Amino acid sequence: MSDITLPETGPTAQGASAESSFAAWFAQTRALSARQLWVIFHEKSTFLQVFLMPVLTMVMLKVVLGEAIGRATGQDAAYGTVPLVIVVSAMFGSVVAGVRLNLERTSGLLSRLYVLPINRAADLSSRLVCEIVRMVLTTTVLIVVGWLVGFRMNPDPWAILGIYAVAVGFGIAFASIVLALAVNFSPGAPLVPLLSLVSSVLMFFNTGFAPASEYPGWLEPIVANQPMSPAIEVMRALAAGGPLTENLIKVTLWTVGTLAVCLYPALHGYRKAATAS
Amino acid sequence: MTQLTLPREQAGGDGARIEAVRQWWTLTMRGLGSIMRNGEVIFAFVSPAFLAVAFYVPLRSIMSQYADIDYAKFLMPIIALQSVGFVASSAAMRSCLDATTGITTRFRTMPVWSAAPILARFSANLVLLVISVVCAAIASLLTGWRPGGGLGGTIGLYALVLTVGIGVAVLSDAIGLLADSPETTSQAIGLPLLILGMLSTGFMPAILFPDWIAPFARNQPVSQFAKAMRAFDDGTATWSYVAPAVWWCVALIVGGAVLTYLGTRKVHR
Repeated sequence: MSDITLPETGPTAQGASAESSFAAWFAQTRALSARQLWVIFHEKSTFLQVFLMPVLTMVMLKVVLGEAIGRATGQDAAYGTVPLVIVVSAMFGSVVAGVRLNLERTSGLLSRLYVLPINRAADLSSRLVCEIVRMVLTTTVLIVVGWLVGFRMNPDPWAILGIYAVAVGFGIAFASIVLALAVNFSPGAPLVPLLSLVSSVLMFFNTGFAPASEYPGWLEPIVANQPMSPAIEVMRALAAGGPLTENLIKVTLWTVGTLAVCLYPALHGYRKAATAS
Repeated sequence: MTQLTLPREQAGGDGARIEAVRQWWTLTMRGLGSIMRNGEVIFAFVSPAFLAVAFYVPLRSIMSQYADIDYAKFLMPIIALQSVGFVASSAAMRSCLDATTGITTRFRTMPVWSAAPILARFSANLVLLVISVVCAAIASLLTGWRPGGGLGGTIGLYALVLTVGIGVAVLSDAIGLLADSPETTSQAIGLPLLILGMLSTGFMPAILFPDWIAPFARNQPVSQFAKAMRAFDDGTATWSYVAPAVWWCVALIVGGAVLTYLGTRKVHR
């Protein structure tokens, strides 16, 4: 009986270690991120949902509520509306990414990637990289359009960088929740309605939509401390000036806490989803 | 050569009529079954109730303070029209899925009365519309709205809402038939509903809109429907107040009929 000699590129111990190396992870994450971004920019419906809808929502909120909110707060409503829509677009964009993950799971793509000699973390990290790129682009578009409706930013580069950091930090945290749920729920579960409902509730009950003082007394602390409100207030403070420290601490705690809670379930669930027959 | 004898109910006359009614009934039950299974009845309540809470809770004090408005009363028309919008989305998606999955074509190859699928979808949409409007009325009552136009005004108010709903459902069903995919359908329905809903006098009075968009906000169909509904609710409805809303309803129904004709032509090809 003749011995079978595997080629050097096969799944040998050396190949396995190369596959799990940082260099492999980096190269494969880059390739898979490019694929994810290609999907976003070539699917018309996704592109519209990710870029056009946030801009439309922002302009309409400003046009419809701007005067009333401006009178109530004594500040141009754009300073609440622009950060609100930046955060909301991060949330709804992540829901779209969750839907795409579920579709790729049911079509067998995750399983296919899992049996190929690809770094185990590459696909999941590519999805997060894609979310970061999407959020940076969306935030840029919203800031530019926001300028047209009265959102004037502090010219300090650190303030501008801070706005992007908060948007991306919040976005990654929410994306990790979505990814963790998408890979742990069964493919037929009502994930989209559930996440959309949560996102919609948060969208109206935060300090970007209306000042916390306008909500009923029992609801005020909930509105002021839910994840979106500190993020909005930090962006408002960075753009227009104002107290920063307390809300920055809250944003950091929410972001780090969410990532800490969701990262393991996301990785574990991803493996389970990829290996499920 | 053997002669083909059709069963009596397909051979014409009363039998054919009975068969057509049976087909319509069966397909209507199919539509209602999918509405129940998809949880659309739950969303029919959640959608207007959520809208009522989302706008009423944070904005009621601002509106009473800066616009001198009873916001529960002011929001009632847009909550009802939001429920109509929900039915529109649902109707469009249902007809689009029937068209894209090949069911509509399948029916054309079977001995099914050609109008039965359209009428069945219309009937299912009508049931969902009634449920949605009832849910919207409950949501408005929960925020503090009370009918103020007497029995006649309230009947007029809901007659108008149902007429708008029928027009929008017919139009949406036709758009679903003409669309290439569910994604296209959701955008073709979702974007106009979002724009017309938000940029209307449903949420804010026209005086609070910037000057450049106030004329559009005041005269577009959703605002005209809201204005007529408020007139019925106040007991101040006159023909001059209600006429624009009525003409918009006529336009919706005529537009829907034309697009339905084009949609069925597309399916035939």
